Amino acid sequence: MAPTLPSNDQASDQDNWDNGRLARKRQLLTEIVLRNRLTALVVDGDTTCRVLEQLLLRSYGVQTQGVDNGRDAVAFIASGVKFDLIIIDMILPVLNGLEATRQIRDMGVHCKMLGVTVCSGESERQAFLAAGVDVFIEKPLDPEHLVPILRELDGQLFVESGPLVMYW
Amino acid sequence: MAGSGTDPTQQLNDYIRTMHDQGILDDNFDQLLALRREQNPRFINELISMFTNDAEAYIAEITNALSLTEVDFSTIISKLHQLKGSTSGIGGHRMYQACCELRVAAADGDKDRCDGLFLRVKEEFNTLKQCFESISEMRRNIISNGTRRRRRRPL
Repeated sequence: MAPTLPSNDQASDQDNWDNGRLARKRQLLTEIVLRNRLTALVVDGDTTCRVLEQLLLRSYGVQTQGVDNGRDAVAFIASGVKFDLIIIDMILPVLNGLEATRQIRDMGVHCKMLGVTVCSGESERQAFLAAGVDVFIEKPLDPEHLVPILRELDGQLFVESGPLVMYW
Repeated sequence: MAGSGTDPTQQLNDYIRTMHDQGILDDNFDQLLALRREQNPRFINELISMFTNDAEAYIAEITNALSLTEVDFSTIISKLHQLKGSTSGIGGHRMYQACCELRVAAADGDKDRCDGLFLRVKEEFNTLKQCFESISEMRRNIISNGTRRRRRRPL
C-alpha cells in the first residue's frame, strides 16, 4: 500500500500529543549529566545500526569506537584498548557475538557488556547472558535502557533538569 | 487554520504522523528525529540514504540466495538479521514485521513461503523508501528555504 498524504483537517489535540511525545524523547536525551568521559565500543555488522548506536552514545558525551565484526572486536580489546562499555550484537560476521563475548571475558575484561539483537527469544537471551554480557536488550538501543546504564557507570545521581553538560 | 496547509514544517509533521497512523513508521523514527543535530541539518537525510543503500544490498543478496538450486537459507537468515536490525533502528515498522515473518520461513527452510514473504518485504521496502523520499524532499525544502524555527519544531 503506497503511503497516502494527510488531509488538511488537523486536530490541535493530536499536535499537542505528538509534540509531547517528542518532547519526552528529547528530554531523555538531555536528562543526564556525565562527570566522567565514558568510552564505549560498538560491535555491529550493520552500518546503520552501528551508526545509530554510536550517535545515541555520543549524544550523552560518550566517546565511541565501532567495529563491524566479532574478530575485530576481540583483536581491538586484545590490543589493550580499554572501554567502560561494550555494546555487541549477537549475530556478527566472521566471529559471532556469543563467541566474541566469551573471548573478551576470557581475556579478563570486566567492563559492562550490553548484548543487543533483534527478534530474540528467551533461549537467545540466556545464551548471550551465559556467554558473558551483563545486560541483554532487544534492538534498537534506546535511551530508556541506556540512560540507567550510563548513570551507573558514571556513578552519579540523576539530574532532572538542565541541558547536557560535559565536564572534562 | 490559516496557513496550516502551506507551512512546510507543519506539512512535514502531518506527513510523519500519517505514516505512523498507517504503521509505516514507528516511535524509533521519532527517536532519530530527537537525535537530530542542529549543526548538521542533513543528518536525517544522510542516515536514510545509508539505510536505503544497505537495505538494497541485503535484498540483492537475499534474492541471490533464494534463486539458487539449493536455497542458501543460512545466508538469507544472516542478511535478514542485519536488515531487521537496521529497519527497526530507522523505524520502519511494517517492513520490520515482514522481515520477522520471512525470518521464520527461512528458519523452517520453506522456499515457497520464503518467496511469498520476500515479495512482501520488497513491497514494504518500496513503501518505506517512498515515505523516506517524501520526508527527505520536504526536509530539503525546509533547509534550503531557511524556514525559521518555530515553537512547534518539526517531528
